[in-house]
Amino acid sequence: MSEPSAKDALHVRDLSVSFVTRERSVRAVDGVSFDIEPGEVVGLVGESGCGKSVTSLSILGLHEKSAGRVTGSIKLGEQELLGLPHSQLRKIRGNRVSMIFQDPQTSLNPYLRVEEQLGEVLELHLGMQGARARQRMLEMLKQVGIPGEERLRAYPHQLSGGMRQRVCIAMALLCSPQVLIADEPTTMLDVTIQSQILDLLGGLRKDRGMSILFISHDLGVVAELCDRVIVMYAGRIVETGRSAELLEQPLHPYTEALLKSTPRVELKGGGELHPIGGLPPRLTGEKLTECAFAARCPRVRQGCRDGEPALQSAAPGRLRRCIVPVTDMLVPP
Amino acid sequence: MGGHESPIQSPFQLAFRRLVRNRGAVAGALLLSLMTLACVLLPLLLKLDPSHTQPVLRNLPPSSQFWFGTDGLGRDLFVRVLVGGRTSLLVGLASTAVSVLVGVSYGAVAGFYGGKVDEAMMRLVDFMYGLPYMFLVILIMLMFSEKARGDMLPVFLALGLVQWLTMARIVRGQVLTLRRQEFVLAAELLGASDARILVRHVLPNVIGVIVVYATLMVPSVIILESFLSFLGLGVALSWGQLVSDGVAVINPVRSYWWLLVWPSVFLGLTLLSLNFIGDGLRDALDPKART
Amino acid sequence: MSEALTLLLGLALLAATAWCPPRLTRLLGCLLFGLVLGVLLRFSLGAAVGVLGGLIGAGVAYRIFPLLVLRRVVFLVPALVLLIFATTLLMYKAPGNPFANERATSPQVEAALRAQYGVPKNANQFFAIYMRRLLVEGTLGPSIKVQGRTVEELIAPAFPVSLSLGLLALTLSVIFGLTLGVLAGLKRNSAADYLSMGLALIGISLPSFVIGAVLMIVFSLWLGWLPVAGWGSYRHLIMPAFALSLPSAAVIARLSRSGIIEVMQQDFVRTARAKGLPESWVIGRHALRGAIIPVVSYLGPAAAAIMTGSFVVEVLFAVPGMGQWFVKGAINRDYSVVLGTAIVYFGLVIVFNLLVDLAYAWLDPRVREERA
Repeated sequence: MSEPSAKDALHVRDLSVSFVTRERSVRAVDGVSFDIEPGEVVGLVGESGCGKSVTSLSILGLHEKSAGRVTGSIKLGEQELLGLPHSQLRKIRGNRVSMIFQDPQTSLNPYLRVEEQLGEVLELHLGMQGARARQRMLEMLKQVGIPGEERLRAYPHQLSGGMRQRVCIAMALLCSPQVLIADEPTTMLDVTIQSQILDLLGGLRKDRGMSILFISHDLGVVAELCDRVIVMYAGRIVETGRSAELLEQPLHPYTEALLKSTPRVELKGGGELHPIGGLPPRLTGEKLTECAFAARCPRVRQGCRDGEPALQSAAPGRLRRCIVPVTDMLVPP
Repeated sequence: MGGHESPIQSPFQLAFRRLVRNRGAVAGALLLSLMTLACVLLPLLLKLDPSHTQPVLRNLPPSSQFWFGTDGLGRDLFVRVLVGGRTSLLVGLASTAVSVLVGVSYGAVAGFYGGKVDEAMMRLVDFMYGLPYMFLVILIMLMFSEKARGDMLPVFLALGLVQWLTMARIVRGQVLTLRRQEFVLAAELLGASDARILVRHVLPNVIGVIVVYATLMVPSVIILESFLSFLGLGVALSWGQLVSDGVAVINPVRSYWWLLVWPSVFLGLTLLSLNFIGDGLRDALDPKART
Repeated sequence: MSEALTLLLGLALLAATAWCPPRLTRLLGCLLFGLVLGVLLRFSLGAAVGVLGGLIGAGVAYRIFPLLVLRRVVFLVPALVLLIFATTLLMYKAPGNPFANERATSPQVEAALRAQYGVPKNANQFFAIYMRRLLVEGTLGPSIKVQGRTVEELIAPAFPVSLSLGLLALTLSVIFGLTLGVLAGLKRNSAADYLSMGLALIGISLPSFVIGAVLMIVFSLWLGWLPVAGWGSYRHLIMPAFALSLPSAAVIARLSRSGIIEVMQQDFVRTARAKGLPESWVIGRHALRGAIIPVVSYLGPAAAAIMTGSFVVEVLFAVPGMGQWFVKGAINRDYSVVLGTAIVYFGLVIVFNLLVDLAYAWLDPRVREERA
């Protein structure tokens, strides 16, 4: 394990991603800006289709190339990643910035053994081969909690879901990246395995001083692991803040509704579920003439439909995109 | 703001719209129809006789009198190509019908009952799949050729039995998946008989696939028939026969190119059209598989 | 009637092998394998080697062969026997018989001839005689029409001809088809894609003898680069092999194109890119294998298609292969010749399909355990 050198922060500024197809154009991400400091775990939360996955994919340029257009700036330290030629971008992928995905079953190549898939990374980025590489792989597997030679020789289908995800994590961390992007890594796993993986990530982050961008739709998961949370809706950021504060007291109606809609074990028999009614807006390229959440917002009022609110600071370290006064937010709608 | 609204269309209607947008398929369909009409109607309307020999006019290149030229016995090639087309197209259609009938029945039963029955049935199919089935077909035709002159039925049967395997496999796969779907379970719970479930619930969903593969099978059968004709086992005048005649007179001294070219062109265009239509159907019915 | 019954019984037995338990499968499988090996060796190297080789083969099979292979053997060997029987039935059912010409002037002469060649009036009996002759004496029997020659003497020189032509055609179709298909799939909707798929369409829209005839005209008659027909040098191989390979190459091209397109959309390809692999590694190490698999599945039918096509191509290019013996034998009602060629063809197909099965298992590790 290498000594963490001076770590870089990840700076995303005004990121916009549009997809142009035959029929229409869709702006999946609209003017998103955030920072991830070295060693921070930032959660990116929102419902399906809110643009969180697209955001994370564009960092490493893994979005759908054929139809996507990306504008804005993504910097790792001083280096601009957006627009970087492929030959240079791939030196960063898996090396300084790594990514793990949602479905460990389909993320691994079913035709290759674990050691072959891990070995590629070592060979490519660190020039390691043979015994040294094996050593490193075994160490890494031990760190992610699946020690043993036989794991190396195994094929993905011979491993359980949790083990596969651990392999993916190991693969991502082999080169000690500065930033790990985790796109819903626990969504496809059992609840018990989920918490194991979260513990694992938490521990690894501490040991390595690595920062993590953790994408999820599950607030409970996010609460456990993340220092800060960014809430996205309809392709834009609607609220940010330290996770404890934000989850304790949301300052945006959407975050509030999200929290309320999460089924909790404590709900005694007879407790109701509170889904968020309606559908997210269609995201064409034009500017919104009203708040994106207005159609579904339980706190909608005069002024919400006059134009899209700007992202503003509501308290130290808290940003939100809403005109409802903070004091109102402290009371139920 | 909100979700999409559009008039409700059945999957078949949606598929049809997609099909019509495929220019290749439309062109193919037009060409095929034209070709079929020409082959079936023209000789009838113009009272043309393919076996009318005029030895004094043999081996003439195309001219205004004989559009496609004449063959070694002075017969008008244009007429022969048209009449030959009837055979080739008929064989394609009839044999495919046989394949579809046998294949769908076999595959539906295997897929529907699943388990060991399916395994046993499919083993036989797997085995026969790799066989040069054509081998047996040729044998049959060879053996029965004297008796069978002019009798088309054995040809249809023999050729039809070559292709049923593919159809059986595909239908079985579809039925197997559909069988486990909930709407089938629902029908069972309501007390529907096996046959009823099969016919009313499962088959309509399989029709699409059947149509696609049937269309793609016709070219194979026509080619197989042309093989038989080429080997001298043909039963009636067909494009394959004409091509074989054309090939037989290839020599370095005199080129009777028209004898080879015209039937080949007709054959090729027909098969091309069928392939376009088949591809178009497949894309239309399963756009996710579109590549 | 009894013949039809035997056939049905055979089919039922064949289907029943699906229910064979592993122990029995292993035992039967290695015995059958040994038997086949023994018969084959007997042909080329004599009785002693045959028996010995068969026993050793059976032992080796028992220890080493995976269950997957033995299960196939248990099915395929009886299937082969059944095929031979079916072919025999067909021949007997057809009008005419080998002795219906001037030579057989009276029933006694015919009976004597029948006894001499081992061709009784009853199909079942003939089959029994034939199999015994094959297994015990190790011969395919005398040819009825070609005096004084055994079938194997007749077929032996033709076999390598057909085999080399077929193998070359298969190799060509895989190489061309794969290359064209993968390139087309990687550069979707480009000029290269349309061109390749256009070629593929032509390949499946024209019978191989038409393609062969065109090749003949262009390369022999017009350009004079290659000999028109016949056999002897490698130059005689080129056009027939090409004509034979084109239809299969076209199918393989289409299959591999859709295969590669599908694979490239898989998650693990995205993971490979996320790891920072250069595109060549992504395609070569990760995507390609998935694209090849549907092609491997097609190899069995491809071989069958090439065999079918070989009849026609051999006739067109006057290649002295087995096709002519088969056709001649059938026309002359020379039962032994027909059966001999049938056995060779079917045997080849069976062996080939077995190899394809093994290749498939090797390529896709998930299959290995399912079958075992």
